[in-house]
Amino acid sequence: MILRVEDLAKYFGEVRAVDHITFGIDSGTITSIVGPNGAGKTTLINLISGALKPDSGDIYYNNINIKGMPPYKISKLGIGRSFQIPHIYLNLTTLDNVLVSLYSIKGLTRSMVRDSYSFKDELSRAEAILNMFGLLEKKDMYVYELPHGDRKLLDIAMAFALNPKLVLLDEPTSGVSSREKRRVMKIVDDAIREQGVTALIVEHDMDIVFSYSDKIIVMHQGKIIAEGVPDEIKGDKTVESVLLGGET
Amino acid sequence: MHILRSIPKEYYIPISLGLLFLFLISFPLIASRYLIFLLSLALIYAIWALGYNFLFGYTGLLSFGHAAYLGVGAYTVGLLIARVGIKSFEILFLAAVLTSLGISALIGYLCVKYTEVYFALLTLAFGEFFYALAFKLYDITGGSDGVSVPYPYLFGYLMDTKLLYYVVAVLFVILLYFAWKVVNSPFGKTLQAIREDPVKAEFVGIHVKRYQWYSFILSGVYSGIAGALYAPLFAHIYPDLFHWTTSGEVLFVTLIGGHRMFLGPVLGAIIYAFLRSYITAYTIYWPFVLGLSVAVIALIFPNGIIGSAYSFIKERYFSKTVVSK
Ligand SMILES: Nc1ncnc2c1ncn2[C@@H]1O[C@H](COP(=O)(O)OP(=O)(O)OP(=O)(O)O)[C@@H](O)[C@H]1O
Ligand SMILES: [Mg+2]
Repeated sequence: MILRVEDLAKYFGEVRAVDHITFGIDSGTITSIVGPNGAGKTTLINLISGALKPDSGDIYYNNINIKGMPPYKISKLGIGRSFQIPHIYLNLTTLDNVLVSLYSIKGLTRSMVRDSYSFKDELSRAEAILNMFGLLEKKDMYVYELPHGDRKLLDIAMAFALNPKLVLLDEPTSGVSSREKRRVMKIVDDAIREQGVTALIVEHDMDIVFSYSDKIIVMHQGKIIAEGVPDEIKGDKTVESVLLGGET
Repeated sequence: MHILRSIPKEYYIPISLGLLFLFLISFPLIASRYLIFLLSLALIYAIWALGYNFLFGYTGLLSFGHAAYLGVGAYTVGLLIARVGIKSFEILFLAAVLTSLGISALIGYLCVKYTEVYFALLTLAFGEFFYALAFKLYDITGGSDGVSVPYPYLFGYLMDTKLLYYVVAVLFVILLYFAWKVVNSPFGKTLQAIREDPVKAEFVGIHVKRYQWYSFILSGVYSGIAGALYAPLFAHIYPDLFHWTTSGEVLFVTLIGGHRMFLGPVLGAIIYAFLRSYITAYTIYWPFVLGLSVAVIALIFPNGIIGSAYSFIKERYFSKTVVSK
């Protein structure tokens, strides 16, 4: 088990965003988290990635308790994440966006006098990653010129550049047109398998969830209300009503 | 154009720097004493603004207190000459580097804990603290009158306006080249990533506050070096060096030239130094005229002069290659 979350809780005042949840993720699997708006999915990712400090509970990553660690340390341990709304460096090129992750993980960010493109290993690795995410042709474009779908992919590519063992992807296809969703998800799925990464994915589109997940976790009002393989979740009546009915 | 194309790209920088150096070194042969003085001042401002722009343009942190490090450099040199009697510029220079490094490290460490407006206010507060200190430590600093600073010596030679100019020119070229190396290095790219999205940077393993601190120190040392040259140029140090209006000058200089372009602060510094000198010669209302011209420039060239020229040329002549699918 690569990740173990035990009795994890985070409240915002009265709102129980994550309400004492416990689950585990096996190495090499894809786990999806689904749930209506406000279920606590993003908060859960924020807690695991270190963006938020939990009120209580523990998070074990490869048996290290990472609870309360700052994000930069958690990323260096091998947990990468992406965002619901893409976080990318708008005024840098696509290539530089990915290179910065590579410098960071290779410990090169203190290198002050060598030209950044003279690090050939990192350069070819960055290009390989961009190729994997269908962005190689746009490597010299400033990313403010990229359409939304590419921005989503780049956000994820920057996490993959960290050579992570575990990725937390918050709605990789949100805001992407329904036609493009398939393409984006295919690229992400291929990247996950090629790199042998374990993935925890938040996703709204149930068709996508059922076709790519090894395991599905259903959240509602901060709690896990169901958990299982796709076939177990498909027939579940309470899950159906929660997902269709929203805040019930 | 053909000649230009036959030169390999990697020689562009050394060749440009070489030409710049040649121009600067031969400038005193054709220029008056006053012009030499003025160009010294412009280059000192350029060094200061280059340093300031590590923090402002490249890291995205707005400081209102960078006069503090200019002042620390100037007072270190000035006080060591006037009060301690150290005459050797090599030692004075080293001392200014060390004090500005130490003080910007200390203040930067405290400031980067805060973000945006709180960061800006804290830098302002520290700047004013030094301003007050320069007043209050009357016995050492001479209070509001400041201290007059005799010429130092460089390797035994009297550092008059002309020798000082050469020192300024050489240091300028070195620091310009170093700045260019820095902004194009992985470190420089890391700072730019922090400017663009500090949240993201943290999630790709960058200890954001630490790198903001490094950037602060780097800009502090450049400012200190500028100060170390400023004191002998004016042969005088005075508390206004620390004042927030002085901090405002470096921000103006950077904005005029354009903080998004590497050479923006340099051009801004040259324009500013010459503009100020000519305006002050004609009217006592120079702060007013200066403020007005800065406002006009800001309105006409929102990206600074270099930045706007660059976008203009890019759009006019290279638009086809820029807009790829
Ligand atoms: N920083 C915050 N401060 C206060 N309340 C918050 C904060 N972040 C989230 N919440 C609240 O916590 C609850 C869970 O929010 P969260 O963003 O985790 O939901 P989600 O499942 O990701 O929803 P969505 O599908 O809309 O992205 C919501 O009620 C939200 O309003
Ligand atoms: Mg969410």
